[in-house]
Amino acid sequence: MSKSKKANTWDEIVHGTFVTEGTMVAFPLCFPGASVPIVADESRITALDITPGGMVYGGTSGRRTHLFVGMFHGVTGAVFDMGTVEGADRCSAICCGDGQFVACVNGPDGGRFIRRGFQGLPFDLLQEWGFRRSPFDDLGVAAKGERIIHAVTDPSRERVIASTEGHLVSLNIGSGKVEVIAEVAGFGRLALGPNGNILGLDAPNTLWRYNAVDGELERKAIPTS
Amino acid sequence: MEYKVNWYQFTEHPNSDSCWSLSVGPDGRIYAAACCEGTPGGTVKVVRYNEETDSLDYLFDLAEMVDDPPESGRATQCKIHYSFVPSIEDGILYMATHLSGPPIDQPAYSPWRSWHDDRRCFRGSALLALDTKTDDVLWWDTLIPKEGCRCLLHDEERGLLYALGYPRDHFYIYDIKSRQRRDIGRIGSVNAQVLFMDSRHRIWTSSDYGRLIRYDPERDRLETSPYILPHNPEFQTGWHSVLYDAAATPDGSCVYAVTWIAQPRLMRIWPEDGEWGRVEDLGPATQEQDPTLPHDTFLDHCGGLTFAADGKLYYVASRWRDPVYNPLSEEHQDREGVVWRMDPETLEREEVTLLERPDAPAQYVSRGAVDHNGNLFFGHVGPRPVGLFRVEMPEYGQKKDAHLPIRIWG
Repeated sequence: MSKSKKANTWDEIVHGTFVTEGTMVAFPLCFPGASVPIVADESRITALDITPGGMVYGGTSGRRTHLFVGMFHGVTGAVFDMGTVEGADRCSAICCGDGQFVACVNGPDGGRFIRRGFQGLPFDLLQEWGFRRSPFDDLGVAAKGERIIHAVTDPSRERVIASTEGHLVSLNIGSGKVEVIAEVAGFGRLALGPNGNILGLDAPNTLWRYNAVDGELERKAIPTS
Repeated sequence: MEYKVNWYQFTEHPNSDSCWSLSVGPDGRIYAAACCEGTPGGTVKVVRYNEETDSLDYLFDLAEMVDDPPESGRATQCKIHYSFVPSIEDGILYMATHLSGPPIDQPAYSPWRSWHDDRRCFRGSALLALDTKTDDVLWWDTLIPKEGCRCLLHDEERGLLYALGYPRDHFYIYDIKSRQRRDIGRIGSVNAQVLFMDSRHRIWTSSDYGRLIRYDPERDRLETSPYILPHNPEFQTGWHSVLYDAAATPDGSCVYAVTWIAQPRLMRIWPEDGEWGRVEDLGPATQEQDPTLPHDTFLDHCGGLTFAADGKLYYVASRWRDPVYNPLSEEHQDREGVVWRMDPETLEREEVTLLERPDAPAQYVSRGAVDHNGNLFFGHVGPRPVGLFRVEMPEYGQKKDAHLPIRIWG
């Protein structure tokens, strides 16, 4: 192997492991030097989403669920812990809408939707900043007694489509209204496809396809094998 | 013992939103900067307390004096930021401007964005020499092109001004006689807020990482301390623990200083003790707080350090209502500026009074000074128009020429 090829291979193995496109951010869960990180047994990140403006929202699982926002595109960076969600120990998804995010959190009583407005970017994170914790809106359960498996924001960013243990549901982010789309046992993660389609695992070895524009659900629409 | 508090609002500069500079002049009177950084096209006016009328005299609009009009389209001569320095021998008060005020037709100004934009870029920090005997402006010059002056110091014996620039955080030396400037080098990005000098004419400040930075004229080098300044070990690392304010003891042997970061830390620095001086940690200046929340320096602040004629250190630290960490009783405001007195012998602190302005909280004080009668003055940052406080010292704290030895940095 030539020296340059060896160098390229080395680079691909070491750095390409993490990044094939975009940017990798390795950052503590705090504002380094100005706050403490989310504690160890409450800081497993299980949900992430990003706004069109580049703010990263996330949720954790563990003894308690924290919701946080990562700010990496302004002057320096910070992770701000927006607070914990009462009665929740797992965040299965976080979905960024237009000006608001919705966190899908689970606890002993099942899954709930939690909403809050986006965190403003402080003046800068180098010299002067200001952070305030605003309360979360608890929008209630997704489907009674069922955990939320996963959720995504639809292409219009007006709704969250969520999969629970037994249902596919839609949440209007602005009004907070929840509607059941169908009885579908949820397992695995949802994905955004082309043309406003949202895809989820269906049994056996197929995907269901839900079109967020016309509201049609097609079971066993795409074979997976 | 009563410390009576008087409030003087900058009513003749209604858009003034900050009083960053407040110093005693070489004449023993109090000078203040009525700054205007939030209004497009805003400019700074220089103000002086008139003890005969018990009111403020507005001396001039600095932008007019340095021919940089507010409608220029550039960032404006909006403020003087810790940059009043006296010259005792000739009665001159030097002052240098800082940037941040937006052009008249823009809502904000970023020095990085406009660095190469001739139409928008700040012209530069204006250095102005005011003769306090005649109130004449003797001359002005551009101290730092394109940049603001964060803080200034005057080494009168050597005829030199020292400055930190913003946003590049460079360290400058300006020779008053030749009017020549030297750029010694870059310190960092955060920008310390004060410079101080020891008896060997070495100039001290701090880095982004909370280390002391020292310019030694003998070596002509900027040097970095091997240690980090005191900080809260629970949620801080030393990052951003830059020096905010510093006051020398009357005998000049040491300096009391405070940092510019949440829960600002008080310390006593003996700069000539050993190779790198000796720093004593005097603990936090403000209350305990939630370590998961990055507190801002507008709420959580300490400034106004000054020695009075009673030999005690005075300073103002903020205090605020927090349901967990400081559930203040009903008679308190949500935010307060507390005047503290520290005894250098025992290091005991005592709350002596509260700064109260009738229309808003007064937790943020930038600088403090003692006038020639011994009264305390504090510059305030808050809702417009801002102003300054005068705190009357009890009789034992009043004496002739109480402002001497004079503070030589802003």
